[in-house]
Amino acid sequence: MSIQQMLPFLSTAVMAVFTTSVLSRYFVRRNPAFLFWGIGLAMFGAGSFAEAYLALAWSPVIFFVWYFFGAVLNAAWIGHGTVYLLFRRRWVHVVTAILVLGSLGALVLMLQVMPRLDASHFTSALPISEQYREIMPPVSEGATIRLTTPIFNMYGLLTLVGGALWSAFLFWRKRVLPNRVVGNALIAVGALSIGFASTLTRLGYGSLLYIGELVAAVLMFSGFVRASAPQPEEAPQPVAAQA
Amino acid sequence: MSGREPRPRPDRERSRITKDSFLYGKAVPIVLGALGLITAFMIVFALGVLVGWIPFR
Repeated sequence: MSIQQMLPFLSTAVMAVFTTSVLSRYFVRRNPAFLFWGIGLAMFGAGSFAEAYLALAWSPVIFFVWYFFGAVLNAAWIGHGTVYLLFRRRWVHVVTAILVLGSLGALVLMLQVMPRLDASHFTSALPISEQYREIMPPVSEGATIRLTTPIFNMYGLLTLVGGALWSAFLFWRKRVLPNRVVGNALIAVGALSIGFASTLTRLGYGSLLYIGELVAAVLMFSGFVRASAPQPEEAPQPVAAQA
Repeated sequence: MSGREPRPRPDRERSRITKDSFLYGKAVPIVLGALGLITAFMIVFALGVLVGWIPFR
């Protein structure tokens, strides 16, 4: 197994730990932000695992998992968790409904394209990110699902990266909680690294997707751990003197 | 008068960034600004792909 084939397995392992950590916090705190982060991270992990599998063998089901969860949905669902953190819940629920309906619509489009996949072009010698265009039909021949990836990814980019940067800025401006400044910056860099690698993939340079995913997984998890870490205490305040 | 300890301040007020910190005074705002510009560029790029200005393969 080459290093390039091992990278998505490593990403999957990191994401499994990350997802478990986030979802366990949801079950304790019942904050919807953790639920959506957890679902999105699980999608990221599923996409990484599918990529690892497709580096060894072909499966239409695994290709579905890779494209639908890894390429289309995961960024938007992770970013949507940040929306719950930063905005009032009343109208966030409306955006949630739009995200769910949009995801269901994307599911229909993905299922429509599945019978038209051409696996004769598949080779395990290349990453799936470098050959998926030959396997999927073009947009002009009915693969409308491919047009949804920029929409979901834009939403994910705006909410996840924008939200992390905004949070980091707020804590920096108030000169408090430095761990959260650094943690959110790490999350933003991690999300941008996978966004950048995905963009290159869509332009035809898919060889960097594996390393982009691993960098994203490590940085986002590190950022989450850093931002969640207990803050160092300042020197204790003097007790009021007795009369 | 009683020597009761003051009520513990919330986390938000207890961990502060020092005024003379180079990291938080100079490096962090530059990094955040650069990341913001990169994010804006990538959003514009995605919009360009969506409207057809940038070839979508």
